[in-house]
Amino acid sequence: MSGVETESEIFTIQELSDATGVEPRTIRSYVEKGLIPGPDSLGRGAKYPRESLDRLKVLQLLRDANRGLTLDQIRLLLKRLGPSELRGLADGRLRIAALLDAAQPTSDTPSRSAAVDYLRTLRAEVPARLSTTPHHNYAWQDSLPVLEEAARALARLSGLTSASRGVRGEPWYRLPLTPDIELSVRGNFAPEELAQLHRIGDALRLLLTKGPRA
Amino acid sequence: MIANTSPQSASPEFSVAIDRSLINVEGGSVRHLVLTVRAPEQPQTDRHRDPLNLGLVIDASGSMAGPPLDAAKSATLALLDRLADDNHLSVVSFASDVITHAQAVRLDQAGRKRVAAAVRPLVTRGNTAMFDGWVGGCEAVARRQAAADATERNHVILLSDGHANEGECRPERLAHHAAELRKRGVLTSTVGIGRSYSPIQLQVIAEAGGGRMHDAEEPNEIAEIMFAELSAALTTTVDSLEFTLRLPRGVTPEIYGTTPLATDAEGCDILAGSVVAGATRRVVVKLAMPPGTIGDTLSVAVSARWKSPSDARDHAADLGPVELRFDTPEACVAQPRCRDLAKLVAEQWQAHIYHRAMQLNQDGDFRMAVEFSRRETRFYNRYCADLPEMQASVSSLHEFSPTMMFGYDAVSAKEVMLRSYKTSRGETDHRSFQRHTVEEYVRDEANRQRRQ
Repeated sequence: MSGVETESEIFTIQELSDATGVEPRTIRSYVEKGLIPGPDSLGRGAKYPRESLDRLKVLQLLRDANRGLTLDQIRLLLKRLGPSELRGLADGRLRIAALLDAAQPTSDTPSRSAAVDYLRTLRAEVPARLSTTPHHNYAWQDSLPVLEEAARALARLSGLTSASRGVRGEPWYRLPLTPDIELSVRGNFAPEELAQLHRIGDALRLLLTKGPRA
Repeated sequence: MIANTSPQSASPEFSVAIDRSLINVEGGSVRHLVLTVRAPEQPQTDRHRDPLNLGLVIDASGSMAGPPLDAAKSATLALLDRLADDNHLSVVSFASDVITHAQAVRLDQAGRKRVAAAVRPLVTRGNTAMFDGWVGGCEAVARRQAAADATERNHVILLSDGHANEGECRPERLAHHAAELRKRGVLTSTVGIGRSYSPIQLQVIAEAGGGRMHDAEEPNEIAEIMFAELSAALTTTVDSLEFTLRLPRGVTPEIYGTTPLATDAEGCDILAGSVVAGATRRVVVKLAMPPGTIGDTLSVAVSARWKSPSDARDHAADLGPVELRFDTPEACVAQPRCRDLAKLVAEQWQAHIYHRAMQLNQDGDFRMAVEFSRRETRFYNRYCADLPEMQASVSSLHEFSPTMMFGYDAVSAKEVMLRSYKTSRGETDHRSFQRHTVEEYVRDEANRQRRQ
């Protein structure tokens, strides 16, 4: 098809309908669904390109082939056709059955990564919302280096070289850090000490959920 | 009419029937098209069944604290013993955040221990970011799907006790994403826990996701429901079943029940979903007819597409045209009809009225709920005039309509919607102890409203 369309290669919706037997309202719905190119302008005199006619013919052939194709699947098939292939199918030089048979694996069976790709796109589309809900993976192998780093950092801060054990009879004070990890400290604490414990808990929580600061 | 697509292999059996084939020349006829499929028995032994790539998504919001979460965890641990070594399991929990406790762990001895160790410490926290949790579960399953070198059944089971109140909550968007994932081979079933979950959100995900929705009102029902769903996932022989109708101009389709329907200028696609081995699924489509000329015919072309989990392939079958002929109003009234078929239509219609009206009632649109149920009951009454066995259902609907003017309590509403959903899909209620019938819930509600 040449880049410039001649008068004989543009059609009104009625001409498209007459050439294919498809009702104008159906043609409009195909345009809305992106199955065929729309007209170059609005109104009664709107003109459709030759490609609209070819696609309409091929679309009808695909529906008449009675393979139970949905419009979504037809759209995918049409999208893959080049201009010469499209024209060949519309003119009857190429067989529609050959197209369907060749396309069978891709049109009917999505690739194994299709769901992963879809979810990746979904995450990319709504980053703000999904990023507000951190997606953690608490496999212990992943957490261990972070815990070791936290222990080293706390040891450095406190100058602690060996762990001292608490005294029986003193109460436990529990600080939830993540849904799976809790810090339990035994002893009687003054309010100032408790405030410091909370600060340690906050730092640990940050280390566990975000990792060490770069 | 029976159309076998491949007699040499285990194929579903389809039948297409219409309750009356003559239509009024003056227009306004309503006819019911009944599409029936019987799924083939399991073609292979358990030993050769495709392994399962299962994702469990557990609601860990604050309202699940105590027995519900304990029961969900126990059920997950019990599930480990029921799955063979070649299956993979992911476990994701959600509240305000999403945590992946196990990512596609192969269930050999070490894998079972690993999953058990990851699930036991699970605790409740925060709100109900159901969408994000479900997406997280789908991601875990989809990653395994992409990496697997053999065919597996990719299935997500979402357990929740509440209304999603963070992230995407709109039923139509949830349905859209569930459908897109189903088309890509990841199916979702849902389990509503307790008394106040959102039936609509869980239902649309299950329906569009090609799975099933279940109810586990009591914590001790969670395990049996999960096992039933697991069994259904493993014995499904027809997946993503979709009927396509090509309709003549002027014919308008409507579905009885909640089966998703997508229309275009030439007809409609109807997603019937998964059918387990040996089970029968029916879809009733109401067709409103245009006027015409005596002797002319209208032809409705019916085809079906489905996936077979046993060979991971898509299949299609042309189920042939259904012919309808224009005739005089007198001839239309006089034509006989198959009573058994009419009874099937009536059962689905009744379930449709209960479900739709209750949905409106729960949306707070009481006037519309009353108008809808009254109008439909009037037509239903006329349709059942020569079906004595359906007269009790007519009386029940007459009692039901006025109760739609006031909000139902959550449990009664949920039960009525769940029963009608199960009836319209021909699914079994796997819960162990007996509930009231729909009629009893309606009667109780009518008495409650009279007292107030």
